[in-house]
Amino acid sequence: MDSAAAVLAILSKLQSLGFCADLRIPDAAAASDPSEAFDAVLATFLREAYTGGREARPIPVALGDGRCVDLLRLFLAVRAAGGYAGVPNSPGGWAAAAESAGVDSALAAPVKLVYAKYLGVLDRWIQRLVEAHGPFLDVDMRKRQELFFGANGVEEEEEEGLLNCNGREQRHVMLKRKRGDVVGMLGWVREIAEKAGNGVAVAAGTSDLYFSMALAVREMVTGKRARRASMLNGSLFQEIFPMACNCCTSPTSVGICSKAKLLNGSLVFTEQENNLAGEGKHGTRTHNSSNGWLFTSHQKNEIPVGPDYQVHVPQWTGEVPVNYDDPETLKWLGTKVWPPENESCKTLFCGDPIGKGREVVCGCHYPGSVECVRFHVAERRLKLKRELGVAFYAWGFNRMGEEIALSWTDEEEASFKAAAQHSAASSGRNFWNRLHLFFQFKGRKELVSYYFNCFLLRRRCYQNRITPKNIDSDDDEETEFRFLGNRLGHFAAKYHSTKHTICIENTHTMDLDE
Amino acid sequence: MAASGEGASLPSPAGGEDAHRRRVSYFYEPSIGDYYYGQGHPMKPHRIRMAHSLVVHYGLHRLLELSRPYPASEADIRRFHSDDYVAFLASATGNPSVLDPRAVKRFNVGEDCPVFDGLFPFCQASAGGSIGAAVKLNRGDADITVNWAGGLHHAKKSEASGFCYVNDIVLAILELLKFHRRVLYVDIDVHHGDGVEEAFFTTNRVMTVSFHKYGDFFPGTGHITDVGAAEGKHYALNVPLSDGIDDATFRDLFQCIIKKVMEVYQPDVVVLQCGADSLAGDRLGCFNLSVKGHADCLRFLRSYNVPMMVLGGGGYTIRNVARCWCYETAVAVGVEPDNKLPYNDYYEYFGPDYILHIQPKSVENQNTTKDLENIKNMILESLSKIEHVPSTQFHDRPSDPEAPEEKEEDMDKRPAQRSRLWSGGAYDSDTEDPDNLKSESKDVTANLQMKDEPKNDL
Repeated sequence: MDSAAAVLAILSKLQSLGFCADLRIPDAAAASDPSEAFDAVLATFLREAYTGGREARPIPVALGDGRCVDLLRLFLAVRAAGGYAGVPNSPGGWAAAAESAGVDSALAAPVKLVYAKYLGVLDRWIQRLVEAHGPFLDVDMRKRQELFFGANGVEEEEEEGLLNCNGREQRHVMLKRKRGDVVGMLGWVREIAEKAGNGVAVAAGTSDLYFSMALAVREMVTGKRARRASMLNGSLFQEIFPMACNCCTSPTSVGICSKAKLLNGSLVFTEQENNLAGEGKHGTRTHNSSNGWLFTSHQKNEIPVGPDYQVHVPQWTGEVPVNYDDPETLKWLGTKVWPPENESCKTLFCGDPIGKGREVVCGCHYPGSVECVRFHVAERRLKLKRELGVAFYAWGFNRMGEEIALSWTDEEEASFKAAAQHSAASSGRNFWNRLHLFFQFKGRKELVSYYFNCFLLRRRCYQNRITPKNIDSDDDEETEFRFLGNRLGHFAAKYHSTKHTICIENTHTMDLDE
Repeated sequence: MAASGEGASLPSPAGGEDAHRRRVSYFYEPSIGDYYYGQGHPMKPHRIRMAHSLVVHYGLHRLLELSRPYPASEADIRRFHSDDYVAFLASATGNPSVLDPRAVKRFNVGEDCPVFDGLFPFCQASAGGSIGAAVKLNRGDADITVNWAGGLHHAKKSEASGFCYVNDIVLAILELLKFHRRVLYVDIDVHHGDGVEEAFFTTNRVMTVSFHKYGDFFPGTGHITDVGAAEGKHYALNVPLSDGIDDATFRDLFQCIIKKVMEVYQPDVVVLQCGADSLAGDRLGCFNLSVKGHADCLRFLRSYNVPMMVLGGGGYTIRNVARCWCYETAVAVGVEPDNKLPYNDYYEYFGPDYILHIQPKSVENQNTTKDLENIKNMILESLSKIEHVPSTQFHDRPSDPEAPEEKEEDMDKRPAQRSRLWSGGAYDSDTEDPDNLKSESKDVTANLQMKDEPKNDL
């Protein structure tokens, strides 16, 4: 029962993310063999998560000696230990996880591999959900059951938030109901959709109590998507489902979208028949042009009109403000930093021609090495300081680039790195909290400045020389700290002295070969 | 190659008057790079500092006037945003535990728009720069103004959205409207410029034109049939695009549409939002533009010689954002910089090639010729609705109790360089047929005679 509930909870979570939409597992089936049910969920999930055509992995999983790994038990054990990243820190580590999955504890390594290959993606999604909405799986029984049976769990809160709190459209107070009603309504909609071919059944369905609720929910959901879409999550979806919207364009596809469309279609149909809901503000309008998806299948989100949304624009009178020289206006001109007011103009023209890039050749021992670059950057900065004068400081050039590390001790830099590595091990979380613990005398600003001016710069420096085909300074969570495990990668970027120039590339390559 | 005399400054169609370099004013807040949205958040104000470093290391500052912006006050921000929202922003601290959860929900702060340390000063700097840029244009102190910390086009009247809290663009346009009858807003961020469109949805004094990815994409608005409402009907244009659009396709569409817009709407001033997430390889975007292709939009608009404000926006692969905005600063001042980046404070960010320009990716352009043709036709059709309004709409002075003679005198007194700023029609040195365009510009110059030029009231 316990693990069956877990399987169903995982499934419902995945469905809330848009996965496994077509998969339905009866409670009885889940209860009789939860492991098999989990395998079915996992197989569907993996197929959808990797649309790129990767061969599906065989399920169930057998190790070399023929014994099967119980994926459900493994997954639950690892989740209980804090997820993939947390297992090494938990008592027993992977050996304990292996035992719980029904294999010998000596097989910790293969079990870890199985976990990474089969369950890694699922783990990451679940982890994201847990971080976003709190734990729902691996905490105590009570919470899990409450959640699943729709008492006062997290799920319910979430759903109420979805229905009630649009912020801009605080309507539909009638939807403040128990979650059970929503579930019932969804079941009803599903039923109607299945009978969509049968017009009588659909017409009869509209008299159901659930009908107006379904309309309101649909409106809120589409409205919410319009007003409160997330830039972050939207793009996440794009990455996982690069072809997600393509199935909308093809009439023959039988995926999630066609089902959704069917469902939507039947609602639009009944709405027109009964004229119950009036004109939905957030988009039931369909476009009849046949010019492709840009003009058709997507629901349109309307721009709200009213004093709460538009700014007041006065009529053009042809008269312009007369006192535009008053201090209130002139303050907007800000503080002029360049060109300098009182300095001799000679300094303006002593530099290189405007738009000039770097010289191709240099006299360094190993052109392009870390030391070579450091030398030229320092040279360049000196020149700039001479040319800019006070503007150099006014623009904060004294606080740009690796030079800011001069105010950090070696120990502090090592601690910063250690904090980064630690956070990387626990999927990048709490990095800044750790830093604040380490560096109680450094302000947030100073830490951020070090992060962008030195830490990331050095990481990029390392990437440019070791993994030039795989560079990234923008995704803190996934790849940011991956290469820091290599001690040399970091120390190589450190400036020791000018006495000899080392060709850093060679050192790194040797180190990687090890 | 470097520092060519007039660079991208193009010969004038009206007879050589345009040979002058644009006076470009640039706003930069030195502390901007230290604001931080939080761990894992793709919006990184540090990119603005990187862009500034490149600008200065290329020596472009010698052709710029650079100012540190005056921070916009609560009252200034309330010119657009609602009182309670502004009060919330001003009082919000970096500690989420003391925030009122109802306010968090109501004002949509949270995951996309976190309340971070220094949030309000960040908004003040961004908005202050854009308002300052507007005042500079109003005073006639500059031909082009730049604020890379601006362009936060998603912010709504009472709500944060899409990493944007205060809509500096709306505030800047409101300032411009004090002196300019018609403002054109062009948005080339990969996301729809919904906040600006919504704010000016019902007025014809601002025309908004947004080129963006549409379909399962944030923010979900920007359908081609959204054209504005009430008096603003047909004064909002949306160009919905699919993944992978490349330089050539984008340039064709952009120039075709903007040419018509300039011809029909004849703006007194242009605001260009240069969101760099439409570049190839952006962390959140899905277009396939090179830095050159992106900057061609600016180059094209600049060639009209209308006073122009250039703003930042999105852009989440920060090395490319810095490349793009540095190059666009160069285009504004009319310099073609070397491709080999000068050594600079953030040199390693630009490895392993250390060059200014980026190669588009080898991805499929999912915009079919047929789709693009349809888009073009629908947009042009919408624009033709404007053309058919009575000519008084554009060519007559507003009914004005003042004696017209006085205004005529004003026009005569107008400083020569001001009158040169607007020389009419579209042209582009590479792609357009000069003869064709010259005739077009004459028509526009005729209308110009009736244009209000209030600058000498200053």
